Amino acid sequence: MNIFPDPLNMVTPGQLDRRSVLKGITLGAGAVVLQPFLNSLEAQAAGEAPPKRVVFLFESNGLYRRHILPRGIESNRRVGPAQVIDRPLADLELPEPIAPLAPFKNRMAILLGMSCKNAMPNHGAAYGALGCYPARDNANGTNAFAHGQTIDHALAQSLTGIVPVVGLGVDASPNTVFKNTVSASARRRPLPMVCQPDVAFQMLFGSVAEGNAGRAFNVRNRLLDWARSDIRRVRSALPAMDREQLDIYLDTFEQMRTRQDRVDAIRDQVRANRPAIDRFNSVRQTDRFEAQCALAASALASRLTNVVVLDGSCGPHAYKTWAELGINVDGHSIGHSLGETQDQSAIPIRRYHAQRVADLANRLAAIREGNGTLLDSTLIVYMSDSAESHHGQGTEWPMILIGNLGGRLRTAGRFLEFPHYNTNGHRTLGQFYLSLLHAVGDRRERFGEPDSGLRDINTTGPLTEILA
Amino acid sequence: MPLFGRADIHTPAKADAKFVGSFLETNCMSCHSGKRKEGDFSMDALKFDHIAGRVAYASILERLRAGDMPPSVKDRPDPAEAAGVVQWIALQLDTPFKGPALPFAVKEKPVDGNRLPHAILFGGPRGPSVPPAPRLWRLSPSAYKKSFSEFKVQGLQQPFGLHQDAGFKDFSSLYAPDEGATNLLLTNAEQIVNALVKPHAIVNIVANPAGKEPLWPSEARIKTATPEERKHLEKGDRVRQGNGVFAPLMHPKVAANREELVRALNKQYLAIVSRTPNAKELESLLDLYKDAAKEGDYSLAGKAILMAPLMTPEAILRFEIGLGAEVRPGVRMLSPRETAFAIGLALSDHRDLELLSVAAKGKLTTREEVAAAVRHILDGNNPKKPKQAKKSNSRVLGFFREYFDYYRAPEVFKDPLKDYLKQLGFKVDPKQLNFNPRRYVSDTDGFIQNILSQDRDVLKQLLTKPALSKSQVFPSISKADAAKAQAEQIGILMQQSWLVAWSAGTDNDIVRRGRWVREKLLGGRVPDLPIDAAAMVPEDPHRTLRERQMVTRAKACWKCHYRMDDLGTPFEHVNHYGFVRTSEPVVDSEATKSATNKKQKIYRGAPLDTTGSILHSGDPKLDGPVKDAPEMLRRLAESERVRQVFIRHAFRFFLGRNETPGDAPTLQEADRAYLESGGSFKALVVSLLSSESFLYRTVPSLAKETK
Repeated sequence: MNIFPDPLNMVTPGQLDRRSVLKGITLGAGAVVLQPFLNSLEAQAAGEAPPKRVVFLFESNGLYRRHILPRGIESNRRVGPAQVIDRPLADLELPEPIAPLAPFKNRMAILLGMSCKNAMPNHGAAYGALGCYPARDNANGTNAFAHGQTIDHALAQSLTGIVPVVGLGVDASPNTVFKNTVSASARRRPLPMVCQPDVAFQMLFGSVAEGNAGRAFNVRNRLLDWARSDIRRVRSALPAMDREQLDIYLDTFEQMRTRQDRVDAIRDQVRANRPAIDRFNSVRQTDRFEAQCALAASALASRLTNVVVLDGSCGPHAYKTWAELGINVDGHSIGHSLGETQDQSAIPIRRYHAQRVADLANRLAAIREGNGTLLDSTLIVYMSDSAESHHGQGTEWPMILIGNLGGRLRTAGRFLEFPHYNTNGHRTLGQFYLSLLHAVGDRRERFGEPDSGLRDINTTGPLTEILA
Repeated sequence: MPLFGRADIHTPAKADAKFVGSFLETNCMSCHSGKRKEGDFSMDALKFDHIAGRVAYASILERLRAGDMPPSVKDRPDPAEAAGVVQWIALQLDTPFKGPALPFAVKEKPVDGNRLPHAILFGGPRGPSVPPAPRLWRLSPSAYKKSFSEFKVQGLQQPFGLHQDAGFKDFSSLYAPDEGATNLLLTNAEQIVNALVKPHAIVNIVANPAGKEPLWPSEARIKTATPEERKHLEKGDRVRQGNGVFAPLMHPKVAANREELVRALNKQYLAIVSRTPNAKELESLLDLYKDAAKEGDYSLAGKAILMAPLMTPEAILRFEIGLGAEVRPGVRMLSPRETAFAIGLALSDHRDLELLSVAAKGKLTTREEVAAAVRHILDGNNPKKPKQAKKSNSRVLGFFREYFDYYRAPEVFKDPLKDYLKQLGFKVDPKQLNFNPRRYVSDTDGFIQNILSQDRDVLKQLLTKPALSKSQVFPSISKADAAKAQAEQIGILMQQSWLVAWSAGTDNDIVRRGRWVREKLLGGRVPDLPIDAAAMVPEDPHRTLRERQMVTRAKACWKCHYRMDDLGTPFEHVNHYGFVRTSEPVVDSEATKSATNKKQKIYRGAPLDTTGSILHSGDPKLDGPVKDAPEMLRRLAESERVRQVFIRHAFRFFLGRNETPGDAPTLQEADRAYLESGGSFKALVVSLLSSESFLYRTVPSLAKETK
């Protein structure tokens, strides 16, 4: 993650003169991002509704339908229902792998049957999982390419925060600081996931931190001041000439300062929500995951951001071994085993992820806001970057939702399964994302690349089944 | 298509200034003077013999020679009269320019390069040479990556982007570091410094008595510590010395002294900007150290000053100011150091340290010395490091990649090949026939490298050399047809990489292929798509693409499409996967109706039509119909105009900007160097990189721009 990510594409606008071009892609952006935030502060002061928030949480190696299918539902992936199955979860029992989510049964939805085959989720779709396009050369390659904006950033355009999207990752290696995985603000502009919780903490909460983190933050500010004076020094040494590049570079430091002032304006709120946890420096995978969840909740609560991506997969082929859970088989090997052997390893890992989702929901539910809690205005999307299986084909992309985005979605306590791939009534992941966009007021007509395999059926428009 | 109004093939009518005046009055003024500036062109500048006036005359000459003005065919002037006017204007342009050598502003985006009429650059003596103004140029993403990859830190983030349009990417006027970039620079700086100081961990000699490992501060150094520092040192914390000079900066409670700080900063500046800090920089950094240390941790302050040079403008911007000697009044040469950076980054993605050391010895002060240095690099005259020589020319291939744009083939979304073939009723073993755009790109890379290794008639070879590897053929083709088609495959434009890169998801792209030929080979322009135009080729599986493309013959469309479509149709010999074909599959309505499987569509092969034409090219010898792509390419390859347009593009890529009238001498020199060397690309690059346009700067206070 980058606290102040590049909010705009570098595409140079068409008919502008040079000054406008250079300025348009730099200076204007900061102002555009800040204004809604200032508005939201005013709104908050006036007692208006809290902002809507969305969290995406990814698990590696597929979210198997058999692990999330409530007991008592007759369903077969190969055949699929002829009509949408829509059942209240209240009557159903959650299966063991996701049992930790039981306390949220009346606020959650289980969605099956939506496809996104063209994202090639086998071994992990990378940007395709949130972008609904093929991001990889082929289904086995490790290279991924951000072809376009992903849904988290598309939502962030409507759910503006100081930081448009906070991206937190959990990589297999504790030494990874940043990794480009699932999220992109624009074509070729991946959002680096911050994989070390202490680095993320420093970036998000450095300004209100005490001890080393606080000191480091202050030193960083002095360095920024030095950089400004350095640029001015270089500038004054130049002969009379076009110094625009330097002016703009200098402006970027001013903007960073301005943005920091905005964070300072909500300093108390940020400080109050600063995560208190002693695992930021841990190299243990589980500790890092838990710390990232705490950071995610804090970033939302302090209103630094309204969109978080928690990437527990961290890229195609980035397989983990969950030794801390007593599982010594790596994710790839689990993916290549079958049936009971597979479940012996896969179920504890699934439970662990379900616990993280529950933990995040609990943290949000514990924070009062207006007449309710933070969870009331939030939607958590729990899914896998490799869709329904380790070798996901994307003919379905199972997911679990918690929360209803402040009442914008009808996702409380429902089980929904859509008809099978390429049959009438079938729905796509792109349509689901489109529904989220509509729910936050962005009424565009489609999201993602269309799947040519579905050209004979109608897959346009948002999911009316879940829109309030 | 009727061939109308081409001026040069007619015997020119006698023309003098008065005749030309009335000719222009009759044929042009109503749309291009006063408030009316159709096509962004006004003739008002013609009144003066300044450079803008000459540019306007050159534009008129271009249009008359192309024969496509006025837009309506019936309004076009008598060809013999037009030829007379062309002759008169050409003569005027050849007359030495007596006015002051002032810069002339051109549009700055790569796509606007061809706006400058060809005739202001070529055709006779042109000039005078007007070197550009001093400039700063943000490092390209690849140059940033390359220069910081030397620190071998995993996970550095790319702070810079490039525009996503086709064509040349890295023009100096297009980019500046934005806020997101600055944040990433800062984050990267942090990571780089953390990695650099990693060997200098803190050890405690009280808890773990030291072995032989050298630690900082040494006993001798402790004697110079303050009493307070000594008190801390008694607790036993020491820094691992390692073999670096950064150790003294890493103790949290003991300050580094001036000498230690200077040594560390010298090393860091050398690594990042290839020079030591100047006195002012040094003092400001020592102040920063002192100031940051107030936070109570010297190691944080130490890291901050090591991060500082990574944020300094020189680390991310190329400085091409003209700090060298004054070569004539108001014109200075780049300093040797500036030249070394400029050449290193023109030919590769990294600073050329060897060239920097040559510069430090006071060389690179004349154009001849620079030419020799560039030739040395391009020849790889370094028997000890042959590999390095090859690598250092990485941007040469980069030019061809961005000029032809074939490397974008993998970015075009297509249905999986097997689905497409299945739809047409073919079942093909993927091992026998697969779609692999990356391989096509590397085939073309190899093709180009092969041509460059011979380095003769490079452009002609690029357009007409027979393919080195056979292109794939459509499954239904007979072996004999396939062999024939493969034998006819010549040049990059018939390679799969180029054909796929210039295709759409489900069809060929006649328009954009034609546009490429119009702009990149003929030096023409196509206006932007009008905002009210819905540019869609109708979908109809019963008709060939060529038939469906007829939609652009409507008057409103054709006024621009005449410049593209006929240049794109010769490439219909392949389908949109770049597979050679002998017919085009269309739905057979009758067969589909009578088929047993109602869902299945039956296809038949419609006969292929690969004819096209070159029209209004600006070189009358080029104009005329063509029967297929090889004929068109062979004709283009022989054209002087095409060669000069290629030179103009090489100029843009290696100089990172569009050419101006003041660059005409440079371009003509480059063209001559290319011709005299028998079409050597190396000679062309040497000429460009040792030109006035590359090495000289016009001091801005002495020159006012004319627009």
